[in-house]
Amino acid sequence: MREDDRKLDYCLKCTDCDSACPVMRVLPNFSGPKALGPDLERIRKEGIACDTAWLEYCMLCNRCEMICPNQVNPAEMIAHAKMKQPKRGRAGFRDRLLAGPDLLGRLCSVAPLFSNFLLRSKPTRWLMSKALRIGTERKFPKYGWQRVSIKKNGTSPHKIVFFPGCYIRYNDPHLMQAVIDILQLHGSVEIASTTCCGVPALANGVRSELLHALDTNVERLLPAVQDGARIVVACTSCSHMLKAEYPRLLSDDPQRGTMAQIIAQNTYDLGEFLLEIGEAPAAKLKPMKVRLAYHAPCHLKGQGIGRPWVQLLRSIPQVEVRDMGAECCGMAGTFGFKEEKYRLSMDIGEDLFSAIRAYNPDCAVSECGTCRMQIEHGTSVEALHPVEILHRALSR
Amino acid sequence: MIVVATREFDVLVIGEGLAGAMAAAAAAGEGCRVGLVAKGPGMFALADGCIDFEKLDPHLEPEEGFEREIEFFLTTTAAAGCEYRGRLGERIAVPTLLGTFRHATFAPLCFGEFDPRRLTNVTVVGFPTFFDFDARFIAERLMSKARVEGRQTNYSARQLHISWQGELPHLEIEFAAQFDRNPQFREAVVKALASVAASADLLIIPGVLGVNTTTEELRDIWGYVGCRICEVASLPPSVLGMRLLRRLEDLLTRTGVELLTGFALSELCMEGEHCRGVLLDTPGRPRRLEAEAVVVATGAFSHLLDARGLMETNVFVCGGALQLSEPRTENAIAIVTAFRAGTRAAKLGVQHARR
Amino acid sequence: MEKTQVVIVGGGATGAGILWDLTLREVQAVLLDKADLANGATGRCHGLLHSGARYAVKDPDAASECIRENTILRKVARPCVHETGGLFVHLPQDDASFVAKWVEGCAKAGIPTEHLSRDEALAFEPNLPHDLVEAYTCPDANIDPFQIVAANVEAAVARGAAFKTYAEVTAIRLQNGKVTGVDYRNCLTGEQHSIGCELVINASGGWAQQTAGMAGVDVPVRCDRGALLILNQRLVNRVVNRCRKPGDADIVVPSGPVCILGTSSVTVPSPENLVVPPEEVQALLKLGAELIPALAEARVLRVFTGARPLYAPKSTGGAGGREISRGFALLDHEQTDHVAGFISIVGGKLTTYRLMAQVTADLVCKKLGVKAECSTDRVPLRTYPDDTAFREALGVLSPAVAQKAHRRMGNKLTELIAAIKREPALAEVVCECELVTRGEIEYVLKSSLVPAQTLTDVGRRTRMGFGTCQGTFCGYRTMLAGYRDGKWSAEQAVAYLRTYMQERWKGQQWAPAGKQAEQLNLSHELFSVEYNLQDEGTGDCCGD
Repeated sequence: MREDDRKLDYCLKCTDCDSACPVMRVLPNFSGPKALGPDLERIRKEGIACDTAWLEYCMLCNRCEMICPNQVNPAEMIAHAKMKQPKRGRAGFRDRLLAGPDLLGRLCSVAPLFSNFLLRSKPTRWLMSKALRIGTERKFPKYGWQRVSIKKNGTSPHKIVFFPGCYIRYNDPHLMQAVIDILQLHGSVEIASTTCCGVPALANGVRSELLHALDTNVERLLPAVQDGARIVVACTSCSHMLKAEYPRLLSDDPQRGTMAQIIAQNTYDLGEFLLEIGEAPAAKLKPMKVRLAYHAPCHLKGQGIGRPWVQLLRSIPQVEVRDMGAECCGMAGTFGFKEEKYRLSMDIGEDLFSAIRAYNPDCAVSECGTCRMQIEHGTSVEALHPVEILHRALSR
Repeated sequence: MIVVATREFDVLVIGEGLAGAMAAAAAAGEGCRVGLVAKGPGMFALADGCIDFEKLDPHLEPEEGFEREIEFFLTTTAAAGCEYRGRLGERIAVPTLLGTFRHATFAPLCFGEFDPRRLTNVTVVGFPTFFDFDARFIAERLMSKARVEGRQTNYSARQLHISWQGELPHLEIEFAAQFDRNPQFREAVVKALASVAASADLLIIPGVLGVNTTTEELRDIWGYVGCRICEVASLPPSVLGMRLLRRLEDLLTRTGVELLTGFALSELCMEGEHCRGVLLDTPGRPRRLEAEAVVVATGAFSHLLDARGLMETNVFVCGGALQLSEPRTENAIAIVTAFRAGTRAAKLGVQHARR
Repeated sequence: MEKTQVVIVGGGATGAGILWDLTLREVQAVLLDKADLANGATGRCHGLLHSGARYAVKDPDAASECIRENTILRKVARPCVHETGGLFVHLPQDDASFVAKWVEGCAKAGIPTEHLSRDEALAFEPNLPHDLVEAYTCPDANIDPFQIVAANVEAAVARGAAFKTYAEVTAIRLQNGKVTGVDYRNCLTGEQHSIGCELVINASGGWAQQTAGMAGVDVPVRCDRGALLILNQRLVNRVVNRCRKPGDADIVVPSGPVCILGTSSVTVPSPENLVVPPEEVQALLKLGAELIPALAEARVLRVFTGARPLYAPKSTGGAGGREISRGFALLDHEQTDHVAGFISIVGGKLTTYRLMAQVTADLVCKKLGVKAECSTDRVPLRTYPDDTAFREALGVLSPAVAQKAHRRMGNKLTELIAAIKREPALAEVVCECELVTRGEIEYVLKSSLVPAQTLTDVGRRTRMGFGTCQGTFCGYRTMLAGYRDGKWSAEQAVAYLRTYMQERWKGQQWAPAGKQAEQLNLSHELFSVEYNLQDEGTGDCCGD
């Protein structure tokens, strides 16, 4: 029996998945993972058109899959259904655009100052709202221009290929530098010449874009891995995509499927890498008296590696880190930019915002770029990648 | 060169139902470093948490009885904030959404602290957006049952009017989540309940008063409403079941148990008859969890192993995984066997901790 | 006392077909069944509208009959038939010479078939075994037996006919060797009634011998049990047959989101209290896996069984099961037993029900001196609503829900839409496994011309409870819907829920392990234990 069919048979309709869904919590009529996943999957096999507007409200946070005691995969079923759903109107056009941030990233990086000015100006945002239904409440993230420097020859035998992801590559070169500096303490570093990991394409259900990402990245990452390198990823959405989704999405392709398995086995989240493989840094960690509010991104939880950065940050003397214990920040990558989903996104994130406000930290830390955006938008507290704290502790 | 991350524990518990939680609490209570793994919640989180000792197989009963196990269960749940009431040999009547009474030996306090059949005026309160809880139906059924049994209790049904701006949630679990996170909503609900409490000795409502609510908070709510309240278990997702699970998880975390939920086990790492630990099926690479003693509390439909074959060395099986129970007595078996399994595992685990 | 021209005993396909046929010829008729419509063999069959290809080698007359009826029903009962098409698959281990005979037989009988190579067949049906030799298409289809019976009765009632379910005939009254009427008992209330009539038609299938006995006549019926397995997923898109001499487990029929594997053949003494031993289920699965390998791992939702009523006159001796022809027998008891006004119609298969009804109605009209000809081969039973109705449905229901409602309700969809517009809460999906809305449940309980009386009836009309959870969630919700609509008192509602859940549980009990056993465990945990459906344990207990 096909693996997908077998998993469909596992469902006992216990609705545990519904109880874990952050969207169901705040949107009363949302069908939920059980209805959109296993319920409709049996009907889809009849060839009945099961497209429904509710599919696009799934954030693909994967909480349903984690909680399911029977190993059903509602999020995967929904992701496939999204790909079959026709993209109509302005929103459809927008979703297809948002599915490929690589293109926009490269364009804007040509003249970043001008792009930032243009994208963040009121008239453009008004236009984006009218033409693309992109909410005016948020400003587009800035594109960066600083060049990144890498020293040749690291100090230890580890070979590291750093997969930056679109956000770090195009929007946060400062962060990119911090990651490279830290990684170079552990070995030789090369920046992967990959394209977008494909999460936006998966989330927006654009198959062509997704396949392009899968094919390109698998081809470009495998040689390094076969050469003994480890792939290190600083953005948890990218690392989750490489570890969990690439093998699943390519499971029907015997050749690429195997390649994806090998890549997944050798992919590490940055925190995971530092904790499990990295030796203690030669330089001493200088004390930092800061109170940090930590938010664990959904895609980190989905990797089952615990909270490596909480442990790493606590090794810096005088740092206080508290895990906010919130479920989902509500941003879900491109989800929160969409006009019709803005309110929902903020409602879902409210638990996290209140927890941060109550804790009143010096700053917030989280490994996911869009989680950081959401935290800054919802609380006005600065949000950094935890590696930037470590970087400061090492370089001061 | 794939490095599989390894974590070490004194005792590893597999399964997050009532049995797993009790075993983990027992082992932690003996001073062990405990890790608890589970793919997801089991039947316990879907049900009402009631425990029935009456139909328990007599041959399970040891000479010394169950006192220690039950004592442990009652103190642990009280410490977790999900207090139980009841006594061995006695029966509690818990109202159900079919208008029957379910009988249990021990029941969580969300069902109230009294026998609902001995009261004079009981109001069953319907919530406007819940289709699965029909107050009129329940009241009619309870009333006819009372008359047949010659009791004088009067049951009436009323609809709750919550004065609230936004749309009301359609499911109990969504309602409970909003009750937890939004103080204004909480206030509006409690006010609305107070207004129908008027002449009633008891309100019977669906289980909606939050997923994170402790027994103390429930008592506060009863006080504010001015009337006893009995929450009734509805179709899954079960707020009452989830509440119990959350409270126990909270307690376990406070006592230092590490919860690693969400991932299936890919294998048991066996060395002959000795279990070294387990491999967690995490994305990319598996993770290895090693322990001196392993408690298997995976429930009646364990895919992991045929539990009975492993009782030899350092593996202790408890709860539904023993395949001794039918649904009715599953929780009773869980309490009894989990304490024993947890404490026995702890003996091995403590030796390990000392090394 | 109620009076009519004809009383039909037996609400299966044959009886319902006769009601419709007679009504079209303007003969007054009342249909009675001691349970719900389609509770006998009709409601416990494979749901297969034969093309006749299955009989092409052994019984060419039956084959021709089938293809004719198949063609007619696909025209007049379009909404009840899902034109899936069929495949006959030649497996390497089966007799190749049979295949040649089969192709010839189909051609002779006028059954259109088309050859498919191995690759073509696999492209059609990926779940076929990869080492199949070849396959042939044929016009097999999936027919919903509950819908076809309901459609016949509904159409007849719309034109003035009457029917009563839960009406058990207790006596057939005779005077001077002629039928004058029947007595029946309302099974739900216990009340006794009588109907005066000129003719009684015994269309009671497995109970035909019993019914005939009431008129002092013997109609020898042999009951032959066939077991069927419902699989959780639609593993095939066409009816898949094994191209060999008919035997066990050689047909898989897709039926909505599920598919049905069957069947077996075991002689039993009575059409009631049928039990399928677990070994038989295992044997069927093993055989079925030769045709569709995924069956070895597939989740079986339910095992059910019905008794084929085979006409077994003395001349056939001890032959049973498949040897007795699946053909039917029309018995005019005035000729054979000197009981005037009593006719029996026995045997047959679902596919030829209309023809059986036709010959019966022809005889009835001859006896009553009615000149009208049969027109059931032309007059549509049910029509699809036009596009505007479906588009309106899309405005209030999601596409999948609208499609399902459209298929089941035919032109009654407009009533559902109107109800939902008045009360939007009716759009809520009660049965999530089969996508049945609250509105549809209310419709079959109250407004339908063929109303449901019990919970199990609702299941038959709407497929509520036919899916993965087997009524665990929707049974309860439907019970509440009936209570709220005033159909049942609270006590009645719970009583029906008890019977309903027992019936649902019965079909899942065969397996001690596996996913359905876990599903059943959850159902018991909720209903037997938590909600105490059986209301066990009365009496006092200590309280505070």
